[in-house]
Amino acid sequence: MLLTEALRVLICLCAGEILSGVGVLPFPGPVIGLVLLLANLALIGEVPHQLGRLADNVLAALGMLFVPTGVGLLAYTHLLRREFAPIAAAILGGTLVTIVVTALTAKRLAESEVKRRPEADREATDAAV
Amino acid sequence: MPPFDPVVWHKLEHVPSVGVGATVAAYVIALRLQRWSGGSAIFNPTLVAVLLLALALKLSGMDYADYARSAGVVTFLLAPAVVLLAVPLFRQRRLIRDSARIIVGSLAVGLPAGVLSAIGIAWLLHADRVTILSLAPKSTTAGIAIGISEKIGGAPSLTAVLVIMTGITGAVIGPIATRRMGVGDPRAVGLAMGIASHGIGTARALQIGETAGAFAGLGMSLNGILTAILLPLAANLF
Repeated sequence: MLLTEALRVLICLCAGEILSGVGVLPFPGPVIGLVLLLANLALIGEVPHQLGRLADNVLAALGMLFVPTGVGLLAYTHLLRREFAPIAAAILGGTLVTIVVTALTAKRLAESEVKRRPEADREATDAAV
Repeated sequence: MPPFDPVVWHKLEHVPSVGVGATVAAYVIALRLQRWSGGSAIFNPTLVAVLLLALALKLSGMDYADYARSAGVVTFLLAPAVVLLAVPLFRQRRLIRDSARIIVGSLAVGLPAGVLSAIGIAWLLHADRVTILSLAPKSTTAGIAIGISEKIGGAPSLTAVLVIMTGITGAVIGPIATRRMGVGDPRAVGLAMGIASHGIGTARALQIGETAGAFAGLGMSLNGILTAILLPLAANLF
C-alpha cells in the first residue's frame, strides 16, 4: 500500500531528525533518514513496488520543493550585490576546477582499468553505445 | 463588505492554499518556459519560479515570512524527498559494485575539490563568513545543501540559490570542458558533472547518454551523502 510506504519513509525521516536534533549525530536529519532507508532496502533486497512509484513521483517534482526556501533570497539582495564578485568567481571557478579534476581522475582510473581488466572495459564501452 | 477588503486579504495570506498554490503555479509556468526555450539549462525552473514569486511578493507587498509560513507544506516535503533519494541510489547498486574504483576515486578527488575551490576562492576575495559557509555545500543537491548550510551556520536561502547557479554553470561548461580535455568515457563525464553540479548537471548528462546520466546521478547522490557527513564534522573542528 502506498500509505505504508509513505510511513516507511516518514519513520526513517523521523528517526533521522531525532538523531540529528538531539545531537547524537551532527548531520542533517533527512540525510540520516536517507541512509536509514538505504539500510532498510538492503535488508529487504529490493525496492517495494509502491515505494518505487512514490519515489519517482515525488522526485519528479524535487525542483519545486526548494522554491519557497529560494524566495528567502529576498532578504540577501544587499549581500548578493556587495559580494557579487567573490560569489561569481567561486561558482564559476570552483565548478570548472571540480569538473576538470574529477573528469581527469575518472579518466585515469578508467584507463588503468582497461590495462587491468580488458574484458570489463569492453562491457562498459558496449553499455555506453 | 467591499470585495477587496485589506483586512480580509491579510487573513488570506496565512491560508496554506495561497502559498502552496502560488508556488505550484510559479513552478508550472517555469516548467512551460523551459520547454519553450528547448530545455535550456539557463531557464532552470526552480530559479525562474523563485524570481517569479519574489516579484509577486514585491508587487503585492506580502511579507516573505507570511509566504514562507503559507507555503510551509512544500518546504516540509523536501525532507521526505531527500530520504527518497535512497530509492534511485539503491536501484543502481550493481553499477556501483561494477565501477567501484572509478566512483570512489572520483568522489575522493571531486568532493574536496568542490568544497575547497569554492570556499578558497571566496575567502581569497574577502567574502563574508556567511557567504563562505553558504557556498561550502554548493555542489550537493539543493535538498541536502540546505540541510548542511543550516548545520554549519550558513544561510539556507542563500545556499539554495547558489546551488542552482552552480548546477547551471556545471550543466553549461561540463560538456565543453570535458570535450576540450579529451575525456570521452561517458562514466568520467557523468561522474564529473554529477559531483560538481548535482541534479542540474545530471539532467544535462542524461542528454549526452544513458551511461553518462546514470553515473552523474550516482555521483550526485553519493557526493550529497558524503558531503553531509564530512562538512559538519570539518566545521566542528574550526
